[in-house]
Amino acid sequence: MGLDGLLTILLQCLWAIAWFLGVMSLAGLLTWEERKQASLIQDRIGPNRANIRLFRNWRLFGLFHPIADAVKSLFKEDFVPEGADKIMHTLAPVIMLGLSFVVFAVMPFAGPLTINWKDIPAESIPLLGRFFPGDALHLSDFTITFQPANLNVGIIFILAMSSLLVYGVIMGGYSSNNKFSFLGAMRATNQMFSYEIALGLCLIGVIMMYGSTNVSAIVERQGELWFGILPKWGVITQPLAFILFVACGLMEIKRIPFDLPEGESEIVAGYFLEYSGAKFVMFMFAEYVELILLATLITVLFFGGWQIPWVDASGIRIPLLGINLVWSELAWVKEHSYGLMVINFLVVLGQGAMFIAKLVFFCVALITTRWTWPRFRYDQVMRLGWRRVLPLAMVNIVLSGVVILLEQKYKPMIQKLLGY
Amino acid sequence: MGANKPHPNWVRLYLPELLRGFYITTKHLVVNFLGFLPGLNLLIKKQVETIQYPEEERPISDRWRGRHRLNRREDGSSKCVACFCCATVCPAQCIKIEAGEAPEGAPSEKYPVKFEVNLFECVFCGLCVEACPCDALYMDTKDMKISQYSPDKFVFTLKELIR
Repeated sequence: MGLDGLLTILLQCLWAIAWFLGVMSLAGLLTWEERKQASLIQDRIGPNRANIRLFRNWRLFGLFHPIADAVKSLFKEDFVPEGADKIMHTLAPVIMLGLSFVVFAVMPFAGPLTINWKDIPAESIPLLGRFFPGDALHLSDFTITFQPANLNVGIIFILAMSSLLVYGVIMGGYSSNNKFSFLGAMRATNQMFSYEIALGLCLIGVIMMYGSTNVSAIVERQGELWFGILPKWGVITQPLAFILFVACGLMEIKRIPFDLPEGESEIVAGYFLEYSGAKFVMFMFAEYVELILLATLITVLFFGGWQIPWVDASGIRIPLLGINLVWSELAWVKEHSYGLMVINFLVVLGQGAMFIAKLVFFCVALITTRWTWPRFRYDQVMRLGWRRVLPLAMVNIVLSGVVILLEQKYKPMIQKLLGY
Repeated sequence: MGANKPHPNWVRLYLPELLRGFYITTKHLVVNFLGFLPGLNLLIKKQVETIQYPEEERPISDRWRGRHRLNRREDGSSKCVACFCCATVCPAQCIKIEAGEAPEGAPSEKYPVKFEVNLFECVFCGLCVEACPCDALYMDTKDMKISQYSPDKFVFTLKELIR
């Protein structure tokens, strides 16, 4: 292992920490955002009373409420009901929260950044060159991937880990020695049977379309264009799979149209009924982390991940309209030896911003679903899972195959026809 | 409407109706969000009707019956002549008056030495105000936030009533 290998490992650790901290803070903010959004949807004002009396009465639209909630919950009694399995009862929220973070390991949040050190004489780097003369370091060309772990089995890893999440629910429900919790856990189990197969099947269409189970490869290939103008995002190539995936994903993260394991009006709080204090916070937090997880999955698999439409590391391209701007041919880049690197860096920054924007958009959209749609009944969920989503997912696989074959056959013809 | 009547097929497809619901909630969200923004709230009227109570208050009607008030003359003494009309008509019997003989040259023969209104017993019916023959008793203070630290503070005396 050379310097590059060490650097790669260090960067991967850095991205892992970045994902963890980012998701943690976003989840904390979402607890506030959800309440605020719900209140706006229902023509209310929402939380705005928690304050900090430092210089004046600071309220900041209720942004202190997450802090107040956390402090309140952490100082509450950690209650374990009589007759409960104490080890399992304690382990369940840990498994929930821990596993929901694991899935982010394969998510890329910006495009690969290639640094050609050799092209840049150290003297021409404005500030850093003085400290790291290029010849002294002898860095080879280096590609940074913004992803904690670049697994070839990315999608399978995602499916495996997110399926394990139901263990937290089942353990929490079964170990609580409470009938409502038990019912919640049973519902979670049953719901898992109804969506899990369909969830896997609707991702097969995506895997077929992009020819890989590697998440970064899938995102990479979503930057290609159809007919020279349409970005090949999953939602355009796989619209049916997108709808099915959102439905199955909502079942997976137990959010409102499918929140049977919780079902406040039926079984109080379901599987986490007997939890209080910090453990309850962990369950609630895991729920928001799962929400972010689903938003990330939708972004990565169906909305091009970090792809900015028509823009990539080499230039801006819309063949149908005849737009072809290559970064390395810009006059400014030709003048400065570090120009291309600066532009590449800016592109990667833009891609990261794009990714975050898409992610937050889908978080908000998923929260809107919670305040829009009513809960499905128990048997309706199973019927939906087995008799609607599963056959449609199978149909989608066939359709994807047809589309891929047609594309292979007629792509040159269409290119000639449209003239790009 | 028959409860067992099946929905039409386009409803049973879920999606169109789900999207319609999404449209409605998003409309509320966007309108209210933009309505809260400092510049745009002149253009877009938010649908939120909440009044932030301790900071803003709903305007009170002039006819609203609040805490009692004794009208006063120019010299600052109360207009009350201790005629006992209000105490007599009061259904809750919460007004206690002790009359005293006014000194020579005073506008009236009698004046109240004590005039106590017990707000715990008062039902805020306003009969005392209507009964008052000499324009002395009013309930137009619009004072509704009457809270005290001890029960006997709710017996308002002459000094607190004259305004």
